[in-house]
Amino acid sequence: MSVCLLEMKSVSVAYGNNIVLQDIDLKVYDNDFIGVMVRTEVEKQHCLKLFLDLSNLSKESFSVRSSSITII
Amino acid sequence: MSTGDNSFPVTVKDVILSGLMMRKGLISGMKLPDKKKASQVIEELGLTELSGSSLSELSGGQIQRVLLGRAVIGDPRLLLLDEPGNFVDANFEADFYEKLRLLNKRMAVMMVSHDIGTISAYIKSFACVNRHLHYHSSSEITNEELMAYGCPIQLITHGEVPHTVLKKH
Repeated sequence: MSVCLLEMKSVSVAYGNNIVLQDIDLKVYDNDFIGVMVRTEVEKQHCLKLFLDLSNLSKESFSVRSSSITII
Repeated sequence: MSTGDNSFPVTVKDVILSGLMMRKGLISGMKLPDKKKASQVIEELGLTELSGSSLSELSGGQIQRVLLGRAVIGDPRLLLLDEPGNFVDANFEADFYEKLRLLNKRMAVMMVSHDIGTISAYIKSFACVNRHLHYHSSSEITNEELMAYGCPIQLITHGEVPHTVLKKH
């Protein structure tokens, strides 16, 4: 039975009005081997930072505005 | 992964042990189980003969494996990689991904890359990011899925023959 390590629902990243990542839904399970393809270096940096920030959070679930993030 | 300054006088074993420093403090204070764990990781990544070598003596592919060892010695549940294929030649690349496949038996692996071709043979699923994230549960890539990029693709591996696709779509 695989365990969900990270779950994102409707997560967006923006600089002011400039949206870089929008409405991202992603679940990562403990046996996953995921390749994330990006178009640009900027997009890559944002993705990595988002995943890193989320995986460093404490083991809990919380909501930011209408988005919810679960860290297991 | 960044290779940083490889002329720093430190051995392969110490670099790998440094992956435990956040939890265990300085390498000189680490106990036998930590050192055993380092030897285990070194063996797993095929670095046994190089464990006493300095980083400056290693090739790009070997350094990449050492840094991978540093990342996995603490047994993370999720391994996050930034363009792992960089600095690695074709021979080492297949070997490197094979090591990742083995590590995937005990941890989740997630890699972010521009190069869709070289990694698609090893991954179980992929996600295309074009502001939105398009997730695909299989590693097979169809033309429809490539549309997510909305731009010409630079390199795709088709079967065993890598080729460049620059068609507008």
